[in-house]
Amino acid sequence: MGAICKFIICLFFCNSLILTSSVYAENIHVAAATSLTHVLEEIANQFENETDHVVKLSFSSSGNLTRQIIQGAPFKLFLSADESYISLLRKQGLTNGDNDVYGIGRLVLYVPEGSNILPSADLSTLANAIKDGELTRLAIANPEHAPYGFIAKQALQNAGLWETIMPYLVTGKSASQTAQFALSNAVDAALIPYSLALRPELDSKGKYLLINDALYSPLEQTMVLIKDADSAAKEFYNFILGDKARTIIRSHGFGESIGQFNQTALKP
Amino acid sequence: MDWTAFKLSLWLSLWTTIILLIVGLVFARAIAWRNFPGKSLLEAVVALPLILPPTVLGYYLLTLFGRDTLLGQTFEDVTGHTLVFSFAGLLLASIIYSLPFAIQPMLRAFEAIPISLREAAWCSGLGHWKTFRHVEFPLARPGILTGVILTFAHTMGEFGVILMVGGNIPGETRTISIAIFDRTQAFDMQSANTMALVLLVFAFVTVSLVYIFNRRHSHIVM
Amino acid sequence: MELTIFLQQKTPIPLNARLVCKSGEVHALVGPSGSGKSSILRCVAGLHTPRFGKVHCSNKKWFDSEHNINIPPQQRRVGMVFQHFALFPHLSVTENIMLPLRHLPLATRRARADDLLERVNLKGLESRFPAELSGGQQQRVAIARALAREPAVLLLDEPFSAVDHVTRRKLRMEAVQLTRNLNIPVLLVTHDLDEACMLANHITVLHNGTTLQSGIPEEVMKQPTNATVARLIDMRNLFEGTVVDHEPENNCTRLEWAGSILEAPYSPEFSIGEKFDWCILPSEVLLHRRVKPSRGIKENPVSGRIGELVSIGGTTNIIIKLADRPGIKLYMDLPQHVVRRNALMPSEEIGVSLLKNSMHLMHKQKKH
Repeated sequence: MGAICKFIICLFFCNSLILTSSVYAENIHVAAATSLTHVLEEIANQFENETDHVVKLSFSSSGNLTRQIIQGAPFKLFLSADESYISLLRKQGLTNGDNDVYGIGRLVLYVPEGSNILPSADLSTLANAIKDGELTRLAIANPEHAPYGFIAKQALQNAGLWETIMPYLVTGKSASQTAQFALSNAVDAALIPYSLALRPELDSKGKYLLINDALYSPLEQTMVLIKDADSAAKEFYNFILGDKARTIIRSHGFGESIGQFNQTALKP
Repeated sequence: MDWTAFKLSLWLSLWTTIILLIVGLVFARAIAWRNFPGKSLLEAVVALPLILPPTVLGYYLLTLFGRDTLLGQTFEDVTGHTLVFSFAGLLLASIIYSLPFAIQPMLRAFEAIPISLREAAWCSGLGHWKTFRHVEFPLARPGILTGVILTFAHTMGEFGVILMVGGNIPGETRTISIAIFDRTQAFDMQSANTMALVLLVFAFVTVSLVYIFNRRHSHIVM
Repeated sequence: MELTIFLQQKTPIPLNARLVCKSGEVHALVGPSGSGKSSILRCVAGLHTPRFGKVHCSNKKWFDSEHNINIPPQQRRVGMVFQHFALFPHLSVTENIMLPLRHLPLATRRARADDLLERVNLKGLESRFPAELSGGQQQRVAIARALAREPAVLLLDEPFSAVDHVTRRKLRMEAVQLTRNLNIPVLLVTHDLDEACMLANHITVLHNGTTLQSGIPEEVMKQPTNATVARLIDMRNLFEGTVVDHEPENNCTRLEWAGSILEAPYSPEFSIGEKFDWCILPSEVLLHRRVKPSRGIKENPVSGRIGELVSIGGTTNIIIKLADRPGIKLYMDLPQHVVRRNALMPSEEIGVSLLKNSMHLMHKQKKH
């Protein structure tokens, strides 16, 4: 009896603080696509500095977050990587008000250091690599529940590579996990969001090129308030659409309109 | 270093352990010395979480107390929050997931007590509660302690089930194991490393202390 | 105080037992393994509930199937010594003895425990643990623990079976002293007849759960009620005979056995021509001395040849094959020095007398 009681009492003392269920009331719970890793953190910090609110971010693939929202996860604001998942939620009556596009999502072909493959905007290097037997693995996000995976598949299909490249595919459960694979050198190449390729961790460790617009439809990354969102969440929603936030978003690889890109300004 | 996540893990492990200690003791003692038809089946059911992959378990738990189930609805009506994606949901999932880790060592420990010892206690005038306190519990203590430690350690390290049932909600369901994963996804290897190390050291120190404590207090040769 | 026991059941172990044990009496239950002796003990302790019957301790009803009474073991004041002692391994010797005394204040508990330890000659071993004790020491602790509660009845389940031969002898002596001084019924279960005769002043023979005969050891060992009991008490000389006639004026009944006519004590309850069983203790078979024949040789003389001589301790067991019926074996026990003095050797001819008053006649049992 003694040993166990003392053990438990020690633990109780280590745990005396925090952890109340009023966690819900004071904080703004935001669900965001993984392509927004860091971007949104920066914006949230700004917001917290200017207001009294606390923002709690949860990143996962858009499909997964949608599922969770349907199952009752307490998110108040959802920044999806595309528009389709928002529509899904709207049809289920789980949204509040209109939705807005907060940025355009683009795809790059990223190759880590040490890979035999070079980036190409038309995926021709991939085609050659397969022919020469140089390709071992290509990572894309899971097309089933990550929009970046969906457009990666689209690009590969339009480049006529989808059938031949299937045996070499590795799918990440989110866009950021796909980028993880590239970073850890587990794959020869990866199709990842531009916003993630711009991150210093990836930028310094490999090469990348934006994929041609002709091969896929860039994502209209859409956000929406969830049903029963309170005024704090609405405030944050509007903040993201404000000038300060837009500047940050733009500088992290989410061009505002589709025609806006200068291909030569990018890193070959 | 996400101390909130660490504290959340501790709190979850603590409550899971306490509840399973009580449930485990009651259950183990109730069936240890009885033989009834279906006892083996009952033990197999209890052992299920051991063999089921966490994702399968997570999936079934969602069907058990997801938002559109009776259990989920009732909880939501009463508390205003969903059972999934909440600490309460994690607690329920952890209890089910760690059930065999608590029960099996305790059950074996009680079964190992020869019936003659219990009979000797009865003939010495000890009623059932006193027999438990003075004879059964002390003799089963090493097994009970094993059950407690395994439950605690197992809950601290839980990932798959928690992710499915709790999501990754900071402050509510982002336990330290989820936080570590979360940080690797955000390419923040330093944080991930720090947290992993803290978890390792904590686990090692806790378990060592308990074993040392137990050794000092046991001198039983049955 | 008197312990009255009546038990009946068919399963799990058949029981049909009846016995009475008085205060100050050491009552041994003897029988082969599986005869239900331990079951009876467990019924008295309350560890097993039989289908029918009653267990009364003086005026207290501990178990009575007719009135639906079944008091749990905790509330029956029994002291039980288990076959393998069942000492609590996590408690010291003193703590083992103090456990039944939890209703008393600590100081009193300790004093009682010390006192009991002294009575069983274990002073000095208070803080040892059961694993550190020898078999004999453990047994003494078990007895002390059983006596701690000042029980109304003391139950001993084969208390000496788990110790070695030498220790057993010592412990038996101590047990005799200890139990004779208690003023409560003592029920002892053993499969060892010698032990039963040595320790008990009353024995009951059991077979397949049925109590066959109860009485003082001398009576049961010399005068079993029937052939079954005779076999159970290891009566080696068990024979069949036929009544020839009765001679009440000579106080004898003549019987025919193995071709000879023998004179047995007058037993009118046997009819002429009736076949019956009879027995005689090997120690009541008299040797016809060669050197100095005694007067007794005229009593039931039997002759034969020595088959085997087996010496155990200071006694020799002699197996004699009868002259007229070599198939029948007669057993005789003699002190070794007598065997030497008479120079008895195997295959030699030998004459013996069967003492008339030691012959015990038993009716044949009805076949079920």
